[in-house]
Amino acid sequence: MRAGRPRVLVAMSGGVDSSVAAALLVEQGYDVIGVTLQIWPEGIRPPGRHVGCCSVDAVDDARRVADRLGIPYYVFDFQEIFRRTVIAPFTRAYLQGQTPNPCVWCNEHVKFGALLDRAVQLGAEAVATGHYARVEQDPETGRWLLMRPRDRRKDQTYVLWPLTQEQLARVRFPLAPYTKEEVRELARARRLPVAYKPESQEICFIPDDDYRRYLREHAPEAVRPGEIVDTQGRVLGQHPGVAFFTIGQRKGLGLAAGRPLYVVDIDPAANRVVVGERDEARAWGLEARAVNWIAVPGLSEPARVEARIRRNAPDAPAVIEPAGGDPRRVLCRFDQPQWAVTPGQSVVWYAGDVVVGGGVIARAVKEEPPAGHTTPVEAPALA
Amino acid sequence: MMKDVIYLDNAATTPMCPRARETMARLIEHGLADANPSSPHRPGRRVRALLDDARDAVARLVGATPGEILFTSGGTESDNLGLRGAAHAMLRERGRRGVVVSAIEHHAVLEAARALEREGFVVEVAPCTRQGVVTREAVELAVGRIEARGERVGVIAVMLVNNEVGTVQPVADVAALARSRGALVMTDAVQAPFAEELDVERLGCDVMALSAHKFGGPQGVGLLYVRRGVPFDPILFGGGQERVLRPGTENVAGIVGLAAALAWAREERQAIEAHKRRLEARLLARLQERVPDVELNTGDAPRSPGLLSLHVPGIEAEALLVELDLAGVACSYGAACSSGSLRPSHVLQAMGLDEARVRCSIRVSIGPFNTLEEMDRAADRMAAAIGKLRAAGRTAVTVVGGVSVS
Repeated sequence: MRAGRPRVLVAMSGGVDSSVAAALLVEQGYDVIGVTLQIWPEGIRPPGRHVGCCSVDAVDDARRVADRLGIPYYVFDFQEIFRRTVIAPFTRAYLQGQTPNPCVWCNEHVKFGALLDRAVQLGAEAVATGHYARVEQDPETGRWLLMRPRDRRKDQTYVLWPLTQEQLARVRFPLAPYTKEEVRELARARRLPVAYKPESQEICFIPDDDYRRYLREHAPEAVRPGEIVDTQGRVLGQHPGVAFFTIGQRKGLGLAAGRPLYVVDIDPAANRVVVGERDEARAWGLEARAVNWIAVPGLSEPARVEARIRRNAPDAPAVIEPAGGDPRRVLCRFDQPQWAVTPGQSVVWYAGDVVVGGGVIARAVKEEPPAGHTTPVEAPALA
Repeated sequence: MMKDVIYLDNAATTPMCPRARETMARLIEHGLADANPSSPHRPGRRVRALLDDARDAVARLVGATPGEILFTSGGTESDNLGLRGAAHAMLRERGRRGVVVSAIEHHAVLEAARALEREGFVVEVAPCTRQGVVTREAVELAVGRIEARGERVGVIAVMLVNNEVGTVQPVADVAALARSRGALVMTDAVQAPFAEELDVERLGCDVMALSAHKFGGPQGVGLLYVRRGVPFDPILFGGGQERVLRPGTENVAGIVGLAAALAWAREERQAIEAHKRRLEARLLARLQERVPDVELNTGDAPRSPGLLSLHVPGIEAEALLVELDLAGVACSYGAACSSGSLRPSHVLQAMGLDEARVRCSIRVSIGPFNTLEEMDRAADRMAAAIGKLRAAGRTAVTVVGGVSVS
């Protein structure tokens, strides 16, 4: 440990991305400390195929990488914060008929929350991860910008939208200028022991991505059967619990309607799942809550953006405007109706490569806007 | 490892003593253990003689006879074999299904007890006092609960010295109680190799576990004392080694190293304990002078010298241990676990400490090879680390979990 070098904590999962991120920081001259967050009870691993991060295997892999890089390495027990800020809201959201993005909360509260606090406590200037995203400071406004990385296919800005200016100032994404292939090549060239590991699964605490089984096992008391109805309110069948459904879902409805039916709405208050034709799962807009602004301090006028409503959805041209008096709520209207606007999912607004801000989808706005209500095309573009 | 690291994690592993080092090095260098001690030939018999000599020496050192000593792979195996071997045999021979373990046992005992419970044994846990001591009365109440459930107690397990907080347990009293109830008593003495009372007659125990790397021997070898004539079953099956109770070719080099280390530990016992006591006093005095609110979690309970559970108010152990590691002081949370992360100490929880106090406690364990001068430097580095973290604690960026997410 040489004095004077800025210290950075790297969150290491044992996978190729965070390992290369750590290696790059070491080469850039930082005083790097590797950490793995233990989010599972000791000795209990998620059952099933085990390729997820944050397990004991991950710890072993990350420790080997840290050793190879010659950096100190520690495991932090973040089970409690993870349970409280990720797992509990995840379950709660499903029981409320929503479809959550737990990775968003993990980034907000765990990796760039509790871990960032720990990093600052240990004298580090930042937390670094293997996320594919870019952070830059706007020379004019001084604001910290979250931007798409070079590898657009791996773009993870969608799960980073809640980061505040204070958080972004203390975040490092060393992989921003690289493609995934280049990252694998960097790992190979450095003989990191992870170069050939497969991609990890989608939600780290859900084995085999089977969230329905997870809910059945972890919240059985809250999963109540109810009715499946059509958009006219006619009862078509029974469902085992609203938590098992998401907007746009076609399979697993157990209906013999003679034509494909899709989940078009979930009404947790009535404990009902509403099904309809494919087109009925489309919406012209959405209302977002818990909005966080990144590129701008706030929104007073309508503005033109591209909106992403799911991790892998294409960006949809849209106009955002303040919704009523609540600065944390935003109305977002698409130029063209979008399929499966799903409450609980994140919506992230972009202006080119820049993340303008994001929020949680509170509700879909199904109705086509009346002609002449707004003229979205004339709204100014942001950033 | 940094040259300058002060090693204060002797309860996890104590560095090997010169006697064990030299003995094992000679053995390996000259190929003295290069045959199977069970083989029917001269080389085999020569190795067997080393094993027999080690067993004789070890037996003498703990007040046992050679036939009562089993060699194992270490503390965890000794604890498992000890508890399970006794419990199964007491059920089979005496129809006794009850097992009492103290709340502050090592996980090797607690988890073995949990496994027994899954197999149909009736398990009761004896709590400890606020200071980390399991009283005879607490054990008696646990036995009463077994009887209230319609079973008789077969085995009682109470450790001699707790591995996380260092408190000495009244094993002799518990053994007397066990005898009066017709139960066996097992004691995990892994953290008590230098203790005066480490003698099976003095303790009155039926089963006793030790691990070589806690007293200057090598890792991966331990021993289990099993009193002659008590019911006892194996948990491994195979060859006839160790009186069929622990089959498998013996780790002869390790066992010879264990015997050499135990001889050293018992011969030098008083000097070692006095040394650790002196070092501990120096460390505590200097640390508390600089950080007055640091305190022992065990109050004035009887404690093995050098093994300290320290509460540092407001400083999470996880952060403190990182800072100490970077500053060149190696200590730990409680028990060393596989991933190396902190899990809330079950011992501190059993003592009834609140969550904050549990999370803000570290274990410092001084060993025979630490020096007085190291204590001064360790205290200074600890004080500096605590000061740094306390200063940084006032500048957190985010409020952990303070934002509602739903």
